[in-house]
Amino acid sequence: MTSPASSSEVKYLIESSEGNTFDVSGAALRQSNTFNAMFLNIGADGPIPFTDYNEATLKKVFEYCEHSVNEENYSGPKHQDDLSKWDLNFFNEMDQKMFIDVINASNFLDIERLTSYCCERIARMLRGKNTQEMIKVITLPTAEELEAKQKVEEKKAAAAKKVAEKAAETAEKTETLEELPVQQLVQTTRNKLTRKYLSFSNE
Amino acid sequence: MTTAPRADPEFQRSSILYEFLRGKSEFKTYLSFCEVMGEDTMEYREFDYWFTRFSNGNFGLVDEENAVRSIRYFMDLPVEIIGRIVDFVTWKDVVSLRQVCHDLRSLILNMQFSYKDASIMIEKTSTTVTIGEHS
Repeated sequence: MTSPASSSEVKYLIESSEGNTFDVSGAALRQSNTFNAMFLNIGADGPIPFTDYNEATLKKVFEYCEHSVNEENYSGPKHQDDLSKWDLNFFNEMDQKMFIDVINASNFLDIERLTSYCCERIARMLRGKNTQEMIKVITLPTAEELEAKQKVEEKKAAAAKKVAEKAAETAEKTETLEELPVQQLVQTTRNKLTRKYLSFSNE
Repeated sequence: MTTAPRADPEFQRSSILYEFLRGKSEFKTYLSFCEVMGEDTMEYREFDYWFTRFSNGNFGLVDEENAVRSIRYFMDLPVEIIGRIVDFVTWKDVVSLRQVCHDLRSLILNMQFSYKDASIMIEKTSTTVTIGEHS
């Protein structure tokens, strides 16, 4: 349900990793440079898939975009002390996990204002702390977690390799199938021409 | 206090709730929590989950969402984002950050900082080095 027209009334459907869809206004979406580059001029048939991010994260990101629709154009980072009460509440509502998800989504969607405020917010969490305190704040994976993560990545790589091999195999098969009619066509044409030539020479 | 209640997750959460209601900042609360309950009782990420949950007005102590178990690591953030975060901290924090982990150290070593002002004052009995904000 989309239209290339850039009216603020236009609503776009966004699809999350869970496969759920929800509405976002065109005005809010236009704060995303990724959206502007990909869909603004050409429009989109059906929901826009941002399926690398879950619904809660995307809703949080677009909640911010909807709120800052009427704010002046972004002109560099704002000091945390200058943030409005709404902005402060918005950031305080998020735990670390949600924060990292929102930064990742905001970075992908290229929403400069949100990404910048999130970075400053994390920097504030680190400011004035010694190394030991920083280690506590920054979640570092334990040796077991690193091992588990590596295993998951290896599994993913193996699965991706399998998919790629299957795709290559299918492409090869398709190529052979596509080649067959062409070869047949060439052969048929050749036969026809030969017959015509023979009939001419007989005359 | 015996060790049994300290190991009970609901007891830990109710302690966080108690500290939260006292209105102290999150990290200060975490430090005093660790002091009483023990350093390894709870990781900061889990503490942060509960503290934020209470801040949002949800005072339930049952982990029905099981959300704490899906972990996000700071170091999984894109390199350019970590670079931007480092840009926002002071040079003193950068020095501490370099010692957090190997990856962060090599990332910071590859960054270039320029400072707006720096001064060294040498006196008879002391030397003072002042470094301004980096840009």
